[in-house]
Amino acid sequence: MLSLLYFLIALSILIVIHEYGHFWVARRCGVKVLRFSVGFGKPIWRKLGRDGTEYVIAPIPLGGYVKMLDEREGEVPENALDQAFNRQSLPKRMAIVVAGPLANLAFAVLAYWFLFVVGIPGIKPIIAEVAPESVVAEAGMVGGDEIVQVDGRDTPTWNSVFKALLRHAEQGDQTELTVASGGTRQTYSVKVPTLAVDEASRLLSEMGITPLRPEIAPVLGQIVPDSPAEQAGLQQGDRLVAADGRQLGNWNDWVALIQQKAGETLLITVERGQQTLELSLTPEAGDDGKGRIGAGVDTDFSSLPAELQSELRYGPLAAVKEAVLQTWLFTSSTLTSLWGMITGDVSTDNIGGPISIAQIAGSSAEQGLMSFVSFLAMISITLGILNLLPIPMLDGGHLMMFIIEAVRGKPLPDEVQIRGQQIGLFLLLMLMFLAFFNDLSRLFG
Amino acid sequence: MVELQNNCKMILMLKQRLITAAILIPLVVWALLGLQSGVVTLLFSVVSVLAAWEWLSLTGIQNSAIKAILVSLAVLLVGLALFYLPIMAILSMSLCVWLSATLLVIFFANRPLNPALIHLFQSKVFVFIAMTLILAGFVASAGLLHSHWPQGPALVLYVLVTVWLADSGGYFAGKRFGKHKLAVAISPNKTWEGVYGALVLALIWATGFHFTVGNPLQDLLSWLLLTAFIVMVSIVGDLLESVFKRSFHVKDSGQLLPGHGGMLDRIDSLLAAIPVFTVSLLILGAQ
Repeated sequence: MLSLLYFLIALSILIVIHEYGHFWVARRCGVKVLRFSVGFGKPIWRKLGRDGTEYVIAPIPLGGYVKMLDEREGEVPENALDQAFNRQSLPKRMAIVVAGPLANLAFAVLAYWFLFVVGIPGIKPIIAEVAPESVVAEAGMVGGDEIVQVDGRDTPTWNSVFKALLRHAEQGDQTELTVASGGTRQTYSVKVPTLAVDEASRLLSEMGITPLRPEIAPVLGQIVPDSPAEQAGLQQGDRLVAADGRQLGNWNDWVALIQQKAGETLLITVERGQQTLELSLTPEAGDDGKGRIGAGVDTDFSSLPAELQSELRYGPLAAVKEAVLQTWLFTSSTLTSLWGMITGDVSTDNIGGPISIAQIAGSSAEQGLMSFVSFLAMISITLGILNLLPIPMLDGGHLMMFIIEAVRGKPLPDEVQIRGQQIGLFLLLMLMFLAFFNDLSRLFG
Repeated sequence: MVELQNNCKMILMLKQRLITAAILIPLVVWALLGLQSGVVTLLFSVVSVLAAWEWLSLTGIQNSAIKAILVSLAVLLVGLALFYLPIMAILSMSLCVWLSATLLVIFFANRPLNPALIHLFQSKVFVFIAMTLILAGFVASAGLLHSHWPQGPALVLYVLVTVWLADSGGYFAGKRFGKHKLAVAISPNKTWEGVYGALVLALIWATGFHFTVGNPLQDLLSWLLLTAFIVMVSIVGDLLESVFKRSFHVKDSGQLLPGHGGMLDRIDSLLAAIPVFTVSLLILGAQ
């Protein structure tokens, strides 16, 4: 339910930004905007601007709309004809139509800029192990090396290393890795394996790199109500120390132990602030027969050891360039995936629908402002690109019609336009079907 | 004089309506709670066949033989879909239809349909395809709703009652307080006041159900939100039927149920409400 709320918030923000793009350029082009509505339905608040535009807030939270003066949508008085959208010159109409998607891209740049200036926390890219005979092993890299630059650009976190390498994975070409070990720096030339977009998650292991993962401290995060953990008296923030007298310092050891002990009672030692407590805990069997206690680990970065903490951050000016680059990279990878789906190289299983997006919206919002902003940026770009696809009824479809009009010197005949819109509608429905089907199959397949 | 005649007619209609309801409601309750899921699915199919017949009539096809052939074809297609397609594919199709319908009625509530859509809605092929998809989603999700949860039969009854209460609440609140038009370009008689009436009645029922039968989402707030959502979706179903009718300039779709218009008029809201309710329960992880 909460996910749904975040999803609606995200969608509304992005659609309003989109519509604002149309609105802003329309006004610059001298088109009269009759109404700018945030939300659909019966207005609950309205204000008439000095420009004659009616600003409205309405209750159905699916974005909003801009209504321009247009002869195709209603009577236009004689003296206002030059302010009607359909009477504008082609370049102006194109600009107004493109402005919506561009506003979404501009928002993404702004969002990334914000993230880069504030700083994105991450894990320092230290290699734990290098697989023998892998590309990095053959280049001469060893475990313990820290990757400081990729292609001459600083990469303070694993995330930034991954993104920089991913750029090469499409072609499978050479990259320059600069590595620090024991105070000296050395640069290696490494061939990145070719991977399809949907195989990206395997990139590091394909290259033979095992990242150094922090030992996870066994400090409890959320406790599920009525779970064995709660019944045993465990609380959020408790540090697990020992089970049946045996010391266990790592969360992963605890998980392994609890999974084996379904139904058995463990005597555990717990540190709570200054106190040390002895509690008895009985894991219950899950659907898979493995034991569980209904408590999660505290994933707060504060439990990450200082030597592994890192941050990707730029100055306000450098961040502009990085934000544009980031937006461009995400845009081009989205386009590559889309094209891959058309040619059949990328599986359409990768299309996620509203249900997946809502889940991601919820989980990113729970992780904090930073990840929600980053989620907004991604969805904003996707929305912008989708709208630019040359499918009739979308902005891109209008744009295509205008381009055809420019080439032919006159618009396409009405029947052709109508056919085109019907085909576009059909394509959109197919896309929507795939998205829903993937979502539902993922959930209940 | 004319007004008096109209009043008499209205009272007569209301009376017929109540008598029909008094006979049908106990039958429906008994069938839903007493019969097995397979039989219930079959009953929903029969209802769908009747609705399909009326649906084809309103496109202006008068020849009964042609209608019979087309209905049989639709039955065949729905049958094949139910047997051979994964249930999630049918539900996804249904979601697509109802999401598009929602966008359609929101977007064209107060302005004329655009030419491409008018053209589409007047095409008999399109009507046939849309009808088949909608009925497939309806039958499949009703069957799933009835069989998937232990309290499934009660849940099917729950949506039916919710939608019917919403219809009645909408009707009376609209008559008494109706002022602000909901979707002038689609159905000029619907008002926002009617929507509020529908919501109030449905939410009272939802609260009652929560405290007596118990709700599958456990917490009351989620249940009320879901019910309110289903009421809105049922209105979309109603409005979509109006869009179809308007395209062929028809008012009532049939006279099958005395006082109630046709079967299609009775179930138009359910066509949207049942699939969306079923999928929502799945997604929200109903117990």
